[in-house]
Amino acid sequence: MKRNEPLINLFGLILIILLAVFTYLALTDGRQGLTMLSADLEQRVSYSYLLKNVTAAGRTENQHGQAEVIPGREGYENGAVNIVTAIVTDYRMLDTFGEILVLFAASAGVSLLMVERKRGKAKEASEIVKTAVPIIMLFALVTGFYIISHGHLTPGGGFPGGAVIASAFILQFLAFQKSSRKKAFKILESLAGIGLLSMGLIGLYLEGSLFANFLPTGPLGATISAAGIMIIYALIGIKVAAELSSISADFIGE
Amino acid sequence: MEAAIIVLGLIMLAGAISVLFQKSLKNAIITFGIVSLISALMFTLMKAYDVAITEASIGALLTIALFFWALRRLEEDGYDEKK
Repeated sequence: MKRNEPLINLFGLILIILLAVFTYLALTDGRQGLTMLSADLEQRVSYSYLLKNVTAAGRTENQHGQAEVIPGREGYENGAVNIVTAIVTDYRMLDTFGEILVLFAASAGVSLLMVERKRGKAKEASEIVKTAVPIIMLFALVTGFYIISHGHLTPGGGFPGGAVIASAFILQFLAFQKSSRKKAFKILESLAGIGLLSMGLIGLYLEGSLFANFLPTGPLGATISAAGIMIIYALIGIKVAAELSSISADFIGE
Repeated sequence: MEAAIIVLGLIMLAGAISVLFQKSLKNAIITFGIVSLISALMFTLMKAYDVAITEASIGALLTIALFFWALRRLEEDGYDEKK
């Protein structure tokens, strides 16, 4: 194995050089020579994503003929104000689904490798920690649900919100030294996974592409708008929270 | 702003290198947590709030908790830090 190490390093170097070339080419326009940032960004597909409509027909324009996005107006492709959310859960949802599968594989691997065994005597948490943790847990849960439910308006969404909810459960494990409801985590996780996949398949059936938005979008910027993104983010949040909690429950053992 | 980002980046670099040379595993884990907290601050300075929230909750809390639980399992199996 040792002999192949220089070869592997060389292969990694070649991959990095290829990546640099691709990054450089994406930022330059072939017709205008090789100067950085000379590409016409308005011609790129990601610029259309910023304007909320990939097709030219649904785009609105102001009096100067420039495309613009108006808060409160209906009929945008997926009524999310947060452009990161719009890309992550609609235009590039397949990538996000892959990320979720990676997290699922990690969770499954941890529960496979972590054999149950008798726990040694751990030092018990102090009275202050035991009293404070339920109160802090409540705040963490509320913050997590807020981050998930406002994913289409403000920064945040399913992944950070799910992680915050999982951190509330980790605090509980830390203070009380026991893992509760291990089975409930697994059931919630599978239900959320089934829900996500069925959202994708319904989009494929109704709109013709996987994870396409098929629900009404509502006025841009309202709390209850972009129904499809809200449902997808709620499912992602439940799945991530259950997975991270079950990973930490496996670590803490029986 | 750029000066702050450069200074914080240098602190992160120093912390990440010092993790490798820590004598005790506990100190290494705590230094690692501080590095990820500073990186969350850097994401906030660079206006990437989505990533900052994730980094603060996963990098600074979850990973550290998992490392400490793994360390406890090691100690149950007879690993001694002082050796």
